[in-house]
Amino acid sequence: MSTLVLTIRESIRYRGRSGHLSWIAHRISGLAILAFLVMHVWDTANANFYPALYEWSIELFKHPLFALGEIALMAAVLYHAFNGIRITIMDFKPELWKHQTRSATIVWALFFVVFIPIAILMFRELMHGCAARGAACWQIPSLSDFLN
Amino acid sequence: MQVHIRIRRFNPETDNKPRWGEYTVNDVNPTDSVLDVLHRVKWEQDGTLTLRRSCAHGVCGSDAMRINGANMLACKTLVSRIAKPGSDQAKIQVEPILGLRVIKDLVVDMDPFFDHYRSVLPYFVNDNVPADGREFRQSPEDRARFDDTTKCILCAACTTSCPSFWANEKYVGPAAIVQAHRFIFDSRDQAAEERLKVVGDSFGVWRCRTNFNCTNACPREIEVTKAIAEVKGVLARGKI
Repeated sequence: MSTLVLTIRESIRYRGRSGHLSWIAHRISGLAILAFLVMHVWDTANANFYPALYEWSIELFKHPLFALGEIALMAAVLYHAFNGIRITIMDFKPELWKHQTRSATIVWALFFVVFIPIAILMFRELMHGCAARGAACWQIPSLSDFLN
Repeated sequence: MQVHIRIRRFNPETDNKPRWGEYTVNDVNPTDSVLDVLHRVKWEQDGTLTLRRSCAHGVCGSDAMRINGANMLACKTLVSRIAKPGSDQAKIQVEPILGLRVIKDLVVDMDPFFDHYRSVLPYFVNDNVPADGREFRQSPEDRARFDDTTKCILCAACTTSCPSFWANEKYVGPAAIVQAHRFIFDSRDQAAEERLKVVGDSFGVWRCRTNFNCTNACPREIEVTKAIAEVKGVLARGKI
């Protein structure tokens, strides 16, 4: 079994406490941000190398599924930022280790307090935008329309 | 009480991959340890079950294993801690510690672990002669700086609870860093620089992700993550 598969499987199976769960959430949110950055670099590079592809990707990103992805991205960025600050503080102030469980809970609380209103605003924006566009909202733009 | 125990079994001579062995042990006292239950399985039901243990009292560190998902010492984990309160039954799942090659059943190859341990020079280094010709003196305050990390029994529960070690066995691991901490912060020792070179490289302390599994797994309640962060601090600030 590859080490990568073993590490992912056992990270889920290991019965860690709050620190372990925070670490898993930190990894997942980090990978989500990385996936966004890869996509972002790709579509921005297209503006220079393949302008038609860039135009198509911008149209594609208006699809509700991508809008939901933006909400997920917001969640990933917020959690990664808050938990990253927590870990940095723990590393610079080792004497605070006794508060590790409480600090992990505070990060989750802070995350939900900030994320929920933002998610509601973003979701409302998505619904308004979709209502204005009607059935076209759910259509995936055809790449051939932009290449011609 | 009755205990249902699932044990991760692997015999390299007959098995292609690990399998689960399931056993029921009756008349278990709630104050018996998981090691006692494993002994009952081995002595009464299946003599081929292979495990390490020596003192059976939490001192030698031989019987670290993954019990119900988390690393613990089998001899220090009581059945009453696992059973639901008021229940006369308990379910226990036992697996070998992770990240080290399984030799048989619950016995793993500890060589990589002890190689990392040796790499940090886990012994006192000072070639000078003490001023009074007898002993190197140390204030209680200086002694207190590394008191916690003298308690390590090298059971490997911390190192094998660390996802960074699962991902790459070249990572020196929490136990070796604890040993390095014990001597780096000893005011009488003179080899801190050499130890910092080992724990400061790319497979050293910077692989720590501060997830506290090691601290939670330590049967001696050593503040492992704190010790690692203190070594990180020395490396970052350049002074002890």
